Amino acid sequence: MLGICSLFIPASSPRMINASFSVEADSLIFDLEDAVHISEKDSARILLRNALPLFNGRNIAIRINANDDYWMEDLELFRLGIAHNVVVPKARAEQIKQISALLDDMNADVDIEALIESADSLEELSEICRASKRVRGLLMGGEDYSLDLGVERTRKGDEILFARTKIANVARAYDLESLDTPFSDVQDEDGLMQDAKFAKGIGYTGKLSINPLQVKGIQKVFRPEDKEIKWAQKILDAAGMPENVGLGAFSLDGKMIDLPVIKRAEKTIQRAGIERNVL
Amino acid sequence: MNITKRTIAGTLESCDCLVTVYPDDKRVIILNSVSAVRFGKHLNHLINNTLDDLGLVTGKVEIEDKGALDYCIVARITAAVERGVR
Amino acid sequence: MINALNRNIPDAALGYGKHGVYNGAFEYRGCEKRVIVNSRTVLPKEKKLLNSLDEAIQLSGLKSGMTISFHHHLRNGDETMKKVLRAIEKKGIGDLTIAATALFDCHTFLEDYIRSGVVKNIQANYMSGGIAQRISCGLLDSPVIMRTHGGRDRAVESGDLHVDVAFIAAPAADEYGNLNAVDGPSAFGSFGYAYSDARYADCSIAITDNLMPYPLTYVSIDQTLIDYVVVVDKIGNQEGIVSGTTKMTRDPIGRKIAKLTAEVIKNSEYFKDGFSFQTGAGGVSLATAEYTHRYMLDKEVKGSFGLGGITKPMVDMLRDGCFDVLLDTQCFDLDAIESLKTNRRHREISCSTYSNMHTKGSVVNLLDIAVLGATEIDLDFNVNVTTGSDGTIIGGSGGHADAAAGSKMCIVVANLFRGRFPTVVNEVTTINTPGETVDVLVTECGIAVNPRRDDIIQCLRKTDLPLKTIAELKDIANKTCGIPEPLKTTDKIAAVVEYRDGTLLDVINCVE
Repeated sequence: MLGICSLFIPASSPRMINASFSVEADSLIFDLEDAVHISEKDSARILLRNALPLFNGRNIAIRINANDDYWMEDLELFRLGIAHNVVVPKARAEQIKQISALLDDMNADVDIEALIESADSLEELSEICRASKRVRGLLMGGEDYSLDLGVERTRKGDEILFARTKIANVARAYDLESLDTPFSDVQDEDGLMQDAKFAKGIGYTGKLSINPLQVKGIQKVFRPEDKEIKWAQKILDAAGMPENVGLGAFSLDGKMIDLPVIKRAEKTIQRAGIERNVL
Repeated sequence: MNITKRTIAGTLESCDCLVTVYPDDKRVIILNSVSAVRFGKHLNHLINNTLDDLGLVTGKVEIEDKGALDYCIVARITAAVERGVR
Repeated sequence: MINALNRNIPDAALGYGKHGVYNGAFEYRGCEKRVIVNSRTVLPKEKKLLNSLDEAIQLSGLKSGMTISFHHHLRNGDETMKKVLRAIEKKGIGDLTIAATALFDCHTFLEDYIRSGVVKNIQANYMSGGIAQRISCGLLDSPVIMRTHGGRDRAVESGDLHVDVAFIAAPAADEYGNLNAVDGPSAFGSFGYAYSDARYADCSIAITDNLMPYPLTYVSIDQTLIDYVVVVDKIGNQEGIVSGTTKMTRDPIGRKIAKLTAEVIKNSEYFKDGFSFQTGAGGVSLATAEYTHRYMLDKEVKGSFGLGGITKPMVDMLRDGCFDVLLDTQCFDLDAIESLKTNRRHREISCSTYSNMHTKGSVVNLLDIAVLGATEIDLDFNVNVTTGSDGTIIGGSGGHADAAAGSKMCIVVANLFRGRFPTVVNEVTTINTPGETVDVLVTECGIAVNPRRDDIIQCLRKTDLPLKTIAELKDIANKTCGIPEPLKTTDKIAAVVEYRDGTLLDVINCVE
């Protein structure tokens, strides 16, 4: 799982890899695909292979190539046991099945995050989610999606609205995390906050990022507020009390607490990044 | 392994290094590094170990280093050698 | 002799400090007299406007072995020093000491004059580029004396540094020696570094490329301080003022550090009405000013003064009412120059007023927060902005040690490592600012507070800012970069570092 904010890092740039040491995103996505020129795919893979040990213990993802010539060798990087998420670009159910099978062979502890960037991918969203138990998240790729559709990518985003909301909905239906498309204007802090709030409002659990300066803002929007967290903890504490265990519903501060409310509280705590024993 | 053709890997960007390999009748290392004054010994050690691990017997390996960390130096040498013996 | 920071000052260097070795940032009050200066009778029909530099040098009485001075307001665009030395060489004068406030890459030509014997010694508060490299490799027979900006004015006023002839590049001058730096094609704004030399040198020669009718309307340096005026075609290049260190950082790591620093400022006890502030000229410092500006507007904090080294972000803060006044000893960019010229609330001050500790109270004494850079910082919070990782001279204190000493809270900003060089080290190569005057270090990997400042630690603990010990930061840097091999230097001393009170802080050895 990628968490609420995941930052793309070009795997071809040592300078950016070094800069990512101090970034506090929930996860880092080392990009072997769009960030790397075709003539440098081999070199970037070797660079990443050597860099990964420095990130041991952190939440790391690798965006492999979509192209058949490269992705199988890209997957070999997961043998190192350091990255635990594979971001599959231009996701298709068939390829995800193949990837999942190869990961099984490797006995790798790796989640699949499907990047939806074309009309085809959007059409088979449910199959993608069902393609493997490893699929834990859907990611929205607005730039490539609008390219595929043959339309201009605009700030308002009408052209990607359908895809955007569908992805959030299907992710929810399959209980997956969902991360919204990156906001491309790095200088525009207000625009980023607006965009992130919109994504949260339509059901996304997080947002992708392309610059370290965006991370704190995105986390602020998607991380539950303090009072939300306190209330959720109160609910979970109360649910664990002996007098409440086994009851279908109980009362807390004049509010009715039943299973859906408890589940929502668990999700809040999870989003807040707090470790808690699961009920 | 021997270098059979001239090839490069890496860049001259800050924190990176550019590695150029050439065919040669022995193993030669040429290091030009902005970190040489304080990391010279360490770098020479690292480069030699990396070439030993790769099994390189002959070839001229030229490294132009702009402050790369160890992992990057190892990676660029590996990529250049792999390309150069293909 | 070992000083209070455990630095060994070799016997050979002791002769360069008239006030002994460093014993603490606030221990030594020093000499409390100003020297008696020369004057000169100028009768009603006598002219001060001369026909050439040659004539000026002739009339100044300059002889071999004397000391001449220059200010560095034109930074890397200076063309005056070259013209002066060319004229001096033609007269067969040699063995001179050049007391420049700073030297840049455009002064690399000095090497030729050193080799030919025209120049024998150098004193400068900051040196970069070719000349600094050569000096680090042993070009001079005697060490350079490096002081702080305030310390140099202290030395000039007390007589420790005696200037025989001051050559003052002036963007605007009238025939009788009234000078300003706001008019003309070579305008550089504040004339801060030229005041003490103009007043205390035996002979002051103004060199201008913009002679204006008498009397100048705006006067920074008064006619009674100037002996002669000479006109040349160009004193320097205005673009040279904006050197590489004064562009705002776009790099995300730099901006992160800047934001964290602004948060430290915002959460400190000093962030309230009457707040005063100085930043250095580095990219991260400028971005810090920008963020602080935003926070001051958000929280409606009305500051009293901004101090510097003035740059565009500070000018913007004045314009938006964040400060009542800007006190300016040097303009770092064209916006600052324009603001000084047009806004009465943007005032020029002399370097002595800015930071001379022996002058009945300088402005830094009243400064709340200073944001400064660092090339290296050690576990005692001593800072080095003078020598680079290869041991050569790449800068100097400038106003660094002064602002650190005067301010109530001194924040140092730096990347935790640059390339593969850690910024936090066991012991800095050269100390120019003692740790007891440095309070906070902000890096992209966390914030370290000097244990001396429990008040700041308690304050920041209440926030969610990432606090670490300086030792922890050093470990992170070492794990990433490895540990550098020790520097190899020779016994020859390239420079002595004099603290702002005149005592000897450290020495810089030549590299192999």
